[in-house]
Amino acid sequence: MTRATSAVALGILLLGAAVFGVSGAPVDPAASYAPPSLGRPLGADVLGRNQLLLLLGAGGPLLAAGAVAIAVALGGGVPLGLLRGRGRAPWAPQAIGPLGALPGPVLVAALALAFPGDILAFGLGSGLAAVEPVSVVVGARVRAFAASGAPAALRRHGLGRVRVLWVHGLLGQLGDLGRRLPLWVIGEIAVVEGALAWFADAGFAEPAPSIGKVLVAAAGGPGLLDAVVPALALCALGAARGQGVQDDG
Amino acid sequence: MRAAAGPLRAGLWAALFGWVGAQALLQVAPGAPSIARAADLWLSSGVRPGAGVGHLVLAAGLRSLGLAGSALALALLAARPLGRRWRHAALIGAAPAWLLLFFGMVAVNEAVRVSDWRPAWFPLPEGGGLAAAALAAGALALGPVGALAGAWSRGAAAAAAGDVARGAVLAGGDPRPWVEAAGDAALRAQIGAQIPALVGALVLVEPAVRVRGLGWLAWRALESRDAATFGAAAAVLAGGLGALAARRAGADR
Repeated sequence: MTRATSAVALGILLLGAAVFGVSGAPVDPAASYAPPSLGRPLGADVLGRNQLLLLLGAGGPLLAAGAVAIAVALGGGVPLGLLRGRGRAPWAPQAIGPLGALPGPVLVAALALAFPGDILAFGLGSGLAAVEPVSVVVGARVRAFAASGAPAALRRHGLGRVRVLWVHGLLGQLGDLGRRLPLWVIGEIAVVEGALAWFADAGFAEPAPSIGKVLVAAAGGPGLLDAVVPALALCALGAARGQGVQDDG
Repeated sequence: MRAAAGPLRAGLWAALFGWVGAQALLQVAPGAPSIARAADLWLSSGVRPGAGVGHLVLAAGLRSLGLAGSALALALLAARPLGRRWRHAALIGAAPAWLLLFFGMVAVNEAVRVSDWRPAWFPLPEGGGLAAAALAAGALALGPVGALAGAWSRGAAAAAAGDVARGAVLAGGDPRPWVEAAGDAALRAQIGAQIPALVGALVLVEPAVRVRGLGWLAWRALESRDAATFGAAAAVLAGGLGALAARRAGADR
């Protein structure tokens, strides 16, 4: 399962979220633990909800938490990276380094358990974990641009507004971040949410659908095979997050 | 001695930030402890009321260290042979450790339900036990195994396609020692990078299998709003990982 395949799985999940939304799987007590059929390819949970629609609908909360994480990571990491790149934040390693040293799952789970069920807490934890790596990537890009000789060449040609081109260079870096950051934070949130839904019953609060709860419900039902698809979705999301924003894999 | 000062200083900074962050988190979380309860920095108020947090954290830290060490040792043992035989060994690490444990538990539960098999260690007792630790170490090892075996495989493949190995072939020699050495070097370079990921998985796996390590302690302290214990666990985690990150950054320079 390559990272590209995982990104496709994530895309399908998010597209499903957009199509089905939260209300895509209505409660139907008569269909409690219904076996897989054409209408319900993954069967139904204890409340008779269509497991496949629940799984697809889980993309919505993931997308919301991911958007918060990306906003926090870029909002904190990009200005800090600009300062770092221009040597104006010598305090950054001491101030923000400890945050970057903590693994993402630790921060996500700490905030998620402190604010049980809150989607924003998942996003905030993941975003905070990403601030430091994002600032390192942006800072490296700014330093590389400054050392490339491009600013001097631009000045020689009378293009005094070098800052505009700094921003252009930065946008190029943001393009890379734009590809990697969503996969990283959404993958991380999904993995931690799944774990907390199992052992702490602290995944996304109802009525938000969650992959972890779909997995736990499916594994607790009569048909164990129903749990395979949610498990594969979690594996794909886990693989998609890779090693972070600096990962080229 | 001077070389050790950088990581030590970074570790102390990280521990301080971890402790302050933990206190701040507990103060803004719903059900925050009263100032009177939070004021006692050395005594647990929730996990084991009245117990010293130093004792709790030390005992839990040693269990976590044992678990993480066992997982890393298993990973190191398996990575080299696996990387040599399978180019796509990195795939092994795709599944989150807790998911493997989850399916392990479901499978044992199912086996117990449909057969006469009644193992004494299942369901896993509160406090973990040897079976829980073995299950957890096995599941935790798979992530690093995938990463380390993948690194060995990539390093060896790059060396096999490189000038030295080709030169050795042209000269009628055996390129395998070069290739193996390059794989080993790539594997060694990856060991440090696996530790933060291993700790991230550890804090999710410990509460799941009820092993009373640092991750379990932190979650119990957070749930019971035990400021002293949660702060101490966060400081130890942040301090250790901060020192490790500074050491790796120094090595990279």
